Amino acid sequence: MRAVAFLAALACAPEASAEDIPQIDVTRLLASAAEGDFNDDGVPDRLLMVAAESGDAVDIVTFLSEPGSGTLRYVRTDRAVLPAQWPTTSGLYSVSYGYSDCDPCTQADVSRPILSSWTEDFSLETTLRWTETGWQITGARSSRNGFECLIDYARNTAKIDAFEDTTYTIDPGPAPALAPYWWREGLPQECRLTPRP
Amino acid sequence: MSRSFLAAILLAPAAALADASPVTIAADRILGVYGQEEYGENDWNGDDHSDLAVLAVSEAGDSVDLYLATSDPGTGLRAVTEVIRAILPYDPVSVASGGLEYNVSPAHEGYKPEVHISSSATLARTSIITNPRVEGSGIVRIASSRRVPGTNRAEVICEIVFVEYGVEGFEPWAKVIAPDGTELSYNPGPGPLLSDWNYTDLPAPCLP
Repeated sequence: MRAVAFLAALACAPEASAEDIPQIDVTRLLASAAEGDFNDDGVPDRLLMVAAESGDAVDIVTFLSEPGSGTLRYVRTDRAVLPAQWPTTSGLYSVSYGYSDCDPCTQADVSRPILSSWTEDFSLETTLRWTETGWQITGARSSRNGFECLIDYARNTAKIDAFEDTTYTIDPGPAPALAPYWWREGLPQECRLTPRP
Repeated sequence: MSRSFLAAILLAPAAALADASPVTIAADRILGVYGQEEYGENDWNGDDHSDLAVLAVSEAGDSVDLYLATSDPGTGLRAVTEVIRAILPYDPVSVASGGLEYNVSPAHEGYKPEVHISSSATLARTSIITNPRVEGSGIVRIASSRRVPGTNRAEVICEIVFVEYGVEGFEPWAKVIAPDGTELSYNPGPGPLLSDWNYTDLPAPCLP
């Protein structure tokens, strides 16, 4: 049974050849992360945040270390994983690391990337975890002008901090897949913060 | 030679790069990005818009290049203004075995791009703080340190300071400690232009 699961995982594993490696317009690079060990093999992996062609989203490019050699291998590009207002210079896009949904935390938890996008209209942070089939969303925080929605998919909780110190909980629903523009439909209704028209 | 003519010559490479088609790099060559920061700290051309530094493996694969780009204050669009070749050495074997790591980040002094290389094999780290300028980027400071085995203490093995902020009449200085402990102090002279400089100009102890 385990062998079948392993083969299934291999079949689903995102593979990319050298020809697939994207050429990146230097001026569209927003941030990088080079210290996190996403696949928990003891060797740092790499992630690039790039302004999408459309300018309204951020793409991420993932490299993972090869078992044994430690060589970084291009794995995949995930399109439109965060909102953006590029090339406006008032936006802020970054990668940090965190362990908001673990206690006690392992090294793998600490190496989990948190992608942040702060635009003029609103901000969205999402915590990712690498799995055999790609990135999985484990947490999200959306906010605008004193309104904040904090979702922890690992604990199945969601909290709203609304105006005038009003706090309440909601059903987070199932964790969304990291599909293009996932935040538009994937977040609970209360947490969807769309750009102003 | 008139000053305006000299300025035109100095600015020519940056202008040529800015007008050219987009500068692209294969994603697997990109080692680090120092992009937009919360308070616009990386505004080295002083126009209130954040600029960009990208560290990437050279096309030949044996060294590391630094790409500098500035933002247009009107549109926010960026243009690559300078590509500094061979700012650091690159050894794919050591990198693959986890021995060497590279990155670019804001320096404490003025948030200028600081490129660094560290080696887990020798427990050493070298940083080069650059000084992006329209007329040709330079170097502020080069520093190398090595962690003393068995301790959390780091010892400086090389320090070359070309610019000291806020100190008028500052004299550049350098101190390099050879593997046998011999200390060499000297005046390194004015800061070099990065276009005329590469990592082979560093004294040997200054690389990890």
